[in-house]
This record gives sequence, structure tokens and C-alpha cells, in this order.
Amino acid sequence: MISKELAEKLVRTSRPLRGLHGSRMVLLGIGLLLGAALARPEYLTQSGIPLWVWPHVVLLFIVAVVLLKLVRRQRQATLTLAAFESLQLQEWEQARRHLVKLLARPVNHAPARTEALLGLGNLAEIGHDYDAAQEVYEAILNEAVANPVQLLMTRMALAATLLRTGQTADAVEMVDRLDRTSLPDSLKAHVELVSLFREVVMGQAADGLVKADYRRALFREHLGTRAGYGYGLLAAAYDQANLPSPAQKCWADATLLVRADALVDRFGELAPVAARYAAVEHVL
Amino acid sequence: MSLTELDNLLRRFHRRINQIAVIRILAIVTVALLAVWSTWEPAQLDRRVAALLVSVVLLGWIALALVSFHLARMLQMARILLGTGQTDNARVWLGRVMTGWSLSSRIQLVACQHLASSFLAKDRHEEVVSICGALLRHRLGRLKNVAVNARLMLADSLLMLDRVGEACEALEPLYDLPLSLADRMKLLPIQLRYELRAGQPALAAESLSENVRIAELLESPQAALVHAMLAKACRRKGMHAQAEFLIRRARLYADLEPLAQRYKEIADVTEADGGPDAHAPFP
Repeated sequence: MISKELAEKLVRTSRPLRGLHGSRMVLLGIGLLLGAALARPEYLTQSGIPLWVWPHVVLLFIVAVVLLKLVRRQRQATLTLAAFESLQLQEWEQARRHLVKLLARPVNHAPARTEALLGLGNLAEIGHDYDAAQEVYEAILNEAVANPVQLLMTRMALAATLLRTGQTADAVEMVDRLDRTSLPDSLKAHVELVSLFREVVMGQAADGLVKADYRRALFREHLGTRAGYGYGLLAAAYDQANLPSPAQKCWADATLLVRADALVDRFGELAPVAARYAAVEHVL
Repeated sequence: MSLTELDNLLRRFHRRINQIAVIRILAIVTVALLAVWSTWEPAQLDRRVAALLVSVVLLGWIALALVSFHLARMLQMARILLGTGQTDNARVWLGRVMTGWSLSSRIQLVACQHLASSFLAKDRHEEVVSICGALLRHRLGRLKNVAVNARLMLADSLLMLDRVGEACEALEPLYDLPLSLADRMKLLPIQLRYELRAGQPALAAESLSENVRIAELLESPQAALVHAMLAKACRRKGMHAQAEFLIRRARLYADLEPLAQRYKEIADVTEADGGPDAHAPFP
């Protein structure tokens, strides 16, 4: 869905331009011309065009530049909104189209660009293109222009991606650091989800079951429907600890919120759990 | 803030918005006349007069830009105070922004919307109805978000006050607007509450899959509320399997009893269901 090359290209093309370019260049040009006209006003009169026309021409030019910028900004805002809506509604192909279009040109608003890049990383993860996702997340962290919450979300996403690409040591270090960070519960829920994923991937989930009730409550309160992923991973943890009864309960809860195939598609580690325990049938 | 103080504030806000509109029209007409005058009568344009005019326009522009910037900072401060739960302080700042001067009334209108949401958060629905009513009296053409939020808050509070007919009137214009997903997410619980209160469960059960899809994007308590209301609608339409499924999901999202105390639309669902708490510890 998102190749590593495409991710690299979009990170590069979406970077805001620095120095003199586009509208700044145009305005500088106008400034220079006005300076020249002030120094030698006779040149303007020699052109045959009445003198009073020039201020209006300059004014119209400036208005045109400003309007052009506004139209471009509006277009970016529309694309951003469309991309996020598609991501939320899980319309992946549409989201991809919008994000590629949006990030193909410089995005000056840093938080909006970071959100779009996070969306791109998410899309890469959905398509199991973990190298591309890693590329995007590392770019966000290296550039360090995102706001603190965005940086935190990026670290969490990167930690999960590193676990999938086999860079376990880096992932463990990152998750441990996140675990030690003092955070509000709404963010802590996300950290606990990544932490639980790490335990399941590394086969250490049984040790973490002391936190199961705490995690379950946190997921329930703060993750909405995505709590289903947390319940699924809890089912895997109970299963690893050879506790089939709570594993079945967690799997039933997980599949009540998210269909079993979607759970396994997102977390391949849940395939054995899906095969062992009964899922809830969706009647809608 | 008492109701009398709020009424005074809203009167001053209304006056200020009208004054800003008049000043804006005057400014546009003046600039247009100056442009025409300088074009048609350039010979009569004394250099000193021209310099004075340009200086006045520039200074006026800078002064208004500074005032607008100051108002924007005050609004930001109010939002921070609201975020940290200092509602009373926030309302003082919002009041200042709402009655402040600028060339555009956008900041004042946004501040008014925040004032309404601060009262909504405290369940002071009479105040919300007054503020949103005052807000919607003004033209909000380019501020679609403010208009949508004001209508949603108004309908929400009217439902809380059992004024179901007026809630319907507040919601109706929204159906003609192209709403974003975020707006549809805010609208869904309010619309379902209205439909159930108006005795139209069939409407609530229509487009069930689409409604569930949007409900899945909501935060846990709101998702639970919407699922419970959809379950009630399905039950009334005889769709028992769907109702059972939805109520199980609702209980998994959040405890329904506290929600039922706040929203009477789902009171009978929890009574009839009486199911176990999904959050109960494992055996």
C-alpha cells in the first residue's frame, strides 16, 4: 500500500520550504521594483502609462498573491480533513489517495503535517509495510517539530513497528522509557496497549497479568472501540498463561467490539487465539 | 455568572457585533471612495494629503491588527482556563473578548460559542439556550463550525429541558448542511435522543449499520449511550437479536446506570436489561 520509497518521497516533498521562494520572492521583486521607481520616477512616466495606475497594479498584485496563498491553504485543509475522515472510516484506498496528494507539496503548518505523516505511518502499518512506517515515524522524531502529544504517539507507534521489524532491543528500550513517563490516563492507555503488545510478542505476557484488571479498565475508559485490540491482546496473554476461561471472556469482548478477522489482520499474533476461542457473531 | 449578568453580557455582545458590522461597511466604503477619488482626480491629490491618508490607513490597520491579536490571545487564555477547569475565570475572559473591538466579529462569535460550551459542561441548560439563541441571531455564514456547534448545543440543552419541539427546530437546518464526520459524530447522539423522545424509534433504527459505524468512532461513554439508544429502537421495532447485540456492546463500552441517570432516554433499557456489569472482574 505504501512503499518505503514512497514514504521517503512524501516526507521530503511535504517539508516546508525555507528561505526565498514563491510568494516571498514575488513580494521581494515588487519591493525592488518600487524602490527602483522611487529612485528614478521618470522611467514610470516615460512608459506612457498614467502614474496613478501603478499603485493599483501593485495592490492588485499583492491581493492576488495573498488570495493564491489562501486558496492553497484551503485546499490543504480540505485534503487533510478528507484524509482523516477516510482513515477514521477505514476507507484505506481513499485515505492513501488523499494523503499522497496532500504530502506531495510542502505543508507549512507543522502540527497538520505531523498528523498527516502519522496517518501515513498508520496506513503503512495497515498494509503491513512496516519498513515504510518506521521511515515515517523516525522522520517525525528526527525533525522534532511536532507537539509533545504527537511526539509521544509517534514513539508509541515506532515502538510497535520496531517489534514487528524484529528490532526488539530498541523497541524494549523505547517501551520501557514510555512506561516510566508520567502521563494522564488517556495517554497511559495507549502506552499500556503497546506494552502489552510487547509482552505478547516476546512471550512474557503471563508475567504481566498482574496488571490485567488495571489495563482492562484503562482500555475500556479511554480507547473506545479500539479497546477491542487491548482485550484481544489480553486474551493472548491469558492464553499464554494457560488460563482458558478468562482468555475466552477477553476474546469474546474483543470480538464483540472488533471483528475477529480485523483483529488478526492488525495483530497477526492473535491468530492462534482466534483459532482456539469462539468469537462473537456480529448480527448487524 | 447569574442569569441577569449573562443577559447584560449578551446584550453588550449583540450591540458590539452590530457596531463592528457598521464600522466594517463604513471602512470598506471609505477605502473604495478613496481609491476612486485618487484614480479620477490624481491632479488634485496633494502630496501631503496623500501621505496623511496613507498614514491614517496604515496606522488604523496596525491598530486593529494589534487589537485583534490581543483578543485572540485573550481567547486562547480563556480556552486554557476552560481546559484546566477554571470555568469562572474563563468566563470573565470570554466576556471581555465578546465585548471587545476588532474589524472582524469572528473572534467574538467564537468566544460566545466557548461561553455556551462552558455552561453546557456544568449542565446549566437555561444559560446554554440563551447564549446559543443570541449567537444564532447573527449571520454565521462563513463560520459554519460555530453555527453547527451552536445548534447542537442548543438542541442538546433543549432536550435536557424537555423542550422536544424546539430541539427539533434547532436541529432541522443542520440536515441541509454538508456535515463533516466530526459534526456527524456530535449530531448522532443528540438526533437519536430527539427521535426516541419524539416517539420515532423507527427513524432511530433506520440506517442502523451506518449509525453503528459512526458510534464506533465515539469515546466510550458516548458510544455506550448511542448503542443503548439504538438497542431501544431495535427492541421497539421487534429486532430483538440486534437489540441484544447492541446492549451487550453498550455495556462493554461503559457502565449504563450512571448514563441512564443523566439521559432518561435509556432509563428503561437498563431497567429491562438489568444485565451484569461487563467490567466485572474475571472468575
